[in-house]
Amino acid sequence: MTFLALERVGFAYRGKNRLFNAVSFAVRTGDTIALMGPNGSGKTTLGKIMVGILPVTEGTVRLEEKAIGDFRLSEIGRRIGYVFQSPAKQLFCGTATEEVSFGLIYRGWTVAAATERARELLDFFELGHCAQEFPLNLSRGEQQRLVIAAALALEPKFLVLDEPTTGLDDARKRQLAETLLRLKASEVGYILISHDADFCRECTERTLFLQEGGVRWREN
Amino acid sequence: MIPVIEMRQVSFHYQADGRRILTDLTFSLAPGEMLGIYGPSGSGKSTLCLMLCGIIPHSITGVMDGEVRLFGESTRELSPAQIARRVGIVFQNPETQLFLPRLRSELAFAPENLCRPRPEIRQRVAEVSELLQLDGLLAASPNELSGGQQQIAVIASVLSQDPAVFVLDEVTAMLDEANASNILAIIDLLRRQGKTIVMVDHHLPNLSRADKLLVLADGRIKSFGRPGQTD
Repeated sequence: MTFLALERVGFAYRGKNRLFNAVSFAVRTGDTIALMGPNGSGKTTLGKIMVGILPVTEGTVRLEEKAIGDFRLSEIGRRIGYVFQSPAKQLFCGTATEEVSFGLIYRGWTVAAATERARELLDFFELGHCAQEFPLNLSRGEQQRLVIAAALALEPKFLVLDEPTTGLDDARKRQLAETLLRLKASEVGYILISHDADFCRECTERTLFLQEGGVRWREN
Repeated sequence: MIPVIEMRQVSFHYQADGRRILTDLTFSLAPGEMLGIYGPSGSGKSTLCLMLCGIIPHSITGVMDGEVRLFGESTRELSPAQIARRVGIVFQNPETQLFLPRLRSELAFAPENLCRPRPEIRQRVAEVSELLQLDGLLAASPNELSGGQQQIAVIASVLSQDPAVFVLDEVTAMLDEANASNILAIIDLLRRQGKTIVMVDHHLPNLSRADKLLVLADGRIKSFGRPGQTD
């Protein structure tokens, strides 16, 4: 089934030049895709369009074959996990544990169960020692792993990760790659927005290049 | 010869009862040398950078033991303005350093505050924007730039400051290959100009150009010496 489809999508920020023009592509459930392109080509903007954060100025975006505008953001959030380019933008709780458990509690989990699940994920991402730390006091790499843990806690069907390897050392990049490949094996698809060509080749099946307002595909 | 940078048994934690971020760091850097800093995330690299530019202890409180000296003077005794005249820093997150309505203003800010003459300010802005291919973006708001463009913008603003010491925290992390190569070439140029450079990077090959490599682990110096001997 087509999970996400962009049909002749164009976009320009108000009063600015068009970033891209008539972009069309489709993503199936379980697809793993890298989105690459030069600085300023619109990768982050396209990522935000795909998850409904930004409305398009032309064309349509369909999620599970329905217009994305017909979904509330919370409904999109149940389907797609999104990791911002700057992890600090999505950290707002008092402790790392609260960051990871927040979404689960919001969905009706008990605090105890959500906290236990948060503990498991923090341990997995080697953040156990930061469980009670204020997230904005963590290093960028730790913040990066924390937001990924929080996104995975909600077990989305699909993920969009914007530059997820920024701030990660080689060992943590390998860990992230293993995590993503495990998700892939369980039919959770993802789009990686990244400049890290080696990481993208390892973790995705195809690459979508965004350049000069258009897109082209390449098999990895 | 007085070292440009000297750390003497420096330890730091953000909260009195919090985990120690740095423990017992001691090293020095001579004028014109380049220090590469490498280590896993959370090992204290960015905190070390904040100490080298005086943000710790002047703007960020915490518990700091030991001493950081710049050109022989303690950063506790130097004012932030005195430190800023000598040290330029590029943060890991460029958004935190961009605050003016136009990119041109960002590039002009440092030389304006150093009271350089107007013609010199215009020339610096022109040279730096050409070097980093920002000519077409000078009228743009920094908020409208992509993450990678913001990173280049911050590098440009520090170049226009023209300090004796550059502290660069993961400056190529958000750049495509072409821009990353350009930035590394500029760093090589700064070295030839005799600047003292401290560069943090997760990509070890980028640090092969350094005179010394400091490897951190859990806030401590795991090794210190020439690249290739320590990594």
